[in-house]
Amino acid sequence: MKIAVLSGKGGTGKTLVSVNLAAVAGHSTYIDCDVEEPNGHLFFKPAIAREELITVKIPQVDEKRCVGCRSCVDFCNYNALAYVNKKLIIFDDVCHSCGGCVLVCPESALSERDKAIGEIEIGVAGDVNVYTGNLNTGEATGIPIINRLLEEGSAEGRVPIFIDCPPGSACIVMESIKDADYCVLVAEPTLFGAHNLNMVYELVKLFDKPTGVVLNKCMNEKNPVEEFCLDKNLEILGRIPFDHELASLNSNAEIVVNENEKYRELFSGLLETIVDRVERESASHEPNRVHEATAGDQERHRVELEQVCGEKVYGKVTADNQKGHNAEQEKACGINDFDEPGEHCIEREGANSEQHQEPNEMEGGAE
Amino acid sequence: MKISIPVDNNSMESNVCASFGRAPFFLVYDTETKEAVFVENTAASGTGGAGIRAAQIIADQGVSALLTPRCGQNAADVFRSADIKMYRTNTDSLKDNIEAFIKGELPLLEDFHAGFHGRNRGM
Repeated sequence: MKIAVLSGKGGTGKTLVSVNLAAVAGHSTYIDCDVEEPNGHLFFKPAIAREELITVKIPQVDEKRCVGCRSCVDFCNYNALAYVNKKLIIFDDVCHSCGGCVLVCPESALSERDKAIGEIEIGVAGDVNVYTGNLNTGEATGIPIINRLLEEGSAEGRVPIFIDCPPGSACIVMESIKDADYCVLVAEPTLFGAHNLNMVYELVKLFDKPTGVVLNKCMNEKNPVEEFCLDKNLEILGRIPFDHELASLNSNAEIVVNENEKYRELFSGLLETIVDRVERESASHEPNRVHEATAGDQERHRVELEQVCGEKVYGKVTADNQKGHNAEQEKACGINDFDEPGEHCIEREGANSEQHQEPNEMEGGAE
Repeated sequence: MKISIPVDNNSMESNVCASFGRAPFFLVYDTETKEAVFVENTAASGTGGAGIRAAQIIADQGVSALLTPRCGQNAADVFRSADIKMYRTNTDSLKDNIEAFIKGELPLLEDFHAGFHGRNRGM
C-alpha cells in the first residue's frame, strides 16, 4: 500500500502529514521524494544504515577521434553541445542524459561517464524505515533520485509506504505518485490554497488516482478549500487545526503523534480513513476516485471523534443531514464553515498560532 | 573585421535586442566593407540551451566580436573558446553602437549572468 502526500505549493504540511502518518502506522516506510529540500529526516532523525550515490550519464569526447562533423551538436535537442575552434564543448548542466549524441557519433568519439547528481540515504527510526533523497544544488532534475528512492523503498516491503512528494505538480511530482495507490492532498485554508489544490487535483485526476483532502491550519473562518472540495465532490479526510501546541512541537522537529495523545488520535483516525479508502478502492477496482461516505461511516467517525476530542464534535451527524446544509451545520457547529461529516477534527485552539514552521518554510523555498 | 549584434528586427534601423540567446535576429556586420547580413536565430524558440546554440550560430559566421547588452555564462564559454571578444552595448540604437564600437568606445563585457532557467544555480 503506497500513499502519496502532495500539495500545490510548499509549506502546506505535506511533511507534517506524511511523517505523522508513518509514525502512527508504526511498522511503515517513509520516503522523502522532496529531493530539493528533504525535511522528513529532521523529524525521524534516523540512524543511517546505507548511503548511495546517484549518478547520470554525461557524454565525454575523445578529441583524437572527433572529426568535427557536428552530428552530435545538431542532434542535441537541449543544445548541450557546441563545436567551435575545432573543439567540442559539453555543457554538463544542460545535458538531459538521453545518450543520443553517443549513438549518432559516426566516429565513436563520444562515450558516457557517470556524473553524481545527489545521493539517497536509507535509515531506520524505530519501526519506520526512512528513505531520503538529496539532489545536489544546481542540478536540472531529481527524477533519477526519486526513481531510485521508490525502487529501494518498495523493495523492502515494509508497508504502508508513505511518499512525501515535492511541492507543485511538475514532472518530479508525477514521478513520485505514479505507483501510488492513493493520493492525499494537503491544503491551506486560503484562496491561494484552493488554487494550488486545484493544480494537484488536476494532476491526480490525470493519473486517475483515488484521492482525498486533508485541510491543514484550519481556523474558525470560511475555508475556500472546503468549498472547492464540495464543488469537486472531493472527500475531506481530516482537518488539522491551526494550533499553537502542534505548531511548536512541529517547529522543534518533534513528531507530534509521539508527544500528545490527541494528535495521535487525530492522525490514527486519518490513517484509518485512508487505509479504508485504499482497501475499498482495491476491492472495487473502479477508476472512480470519489467515495461517498455511508451513514455507517459517518456515525462511526462521530463516535471516534468524540472519544478523541473528549468534548466537542463539530457537526451533528445523522443519516438525514449527511448531505449537509450549510446553515444547519453552522448552527450546530457554532462555526461559519461547512463541516463535512465523516472526518476527524479536534478542538480548534487559538488562531494566532504560527504553524508554519521552519522545516516547511524550507520546503516552500524549494519551489 | 566582422562583428555581430543581437537585434529586434532584420533592419539597420532596428534596436539592439535586450536578450542575447532569445534575440530573433543577429546582424553580422563587416566594419570594412559595411556589408550587413541578418541571420535568423533558430535557437530563439528552443526549450533550453538557447544561449549555447545562438553562440554557435554566431561563431559559425566567423565574427571576431559580439556587441550585446548582456550574455549568459554558457554562451560566454562558447565565445571564449571561439576567441570572440564580447563588448557591452551602451544604447538601444544599432547604428550608434556600431559607430561607438568602431571608435573604440564600447567597454568589454566581463560579467555574465548564470542563466534564467535554473542552470548553474549557486555556482
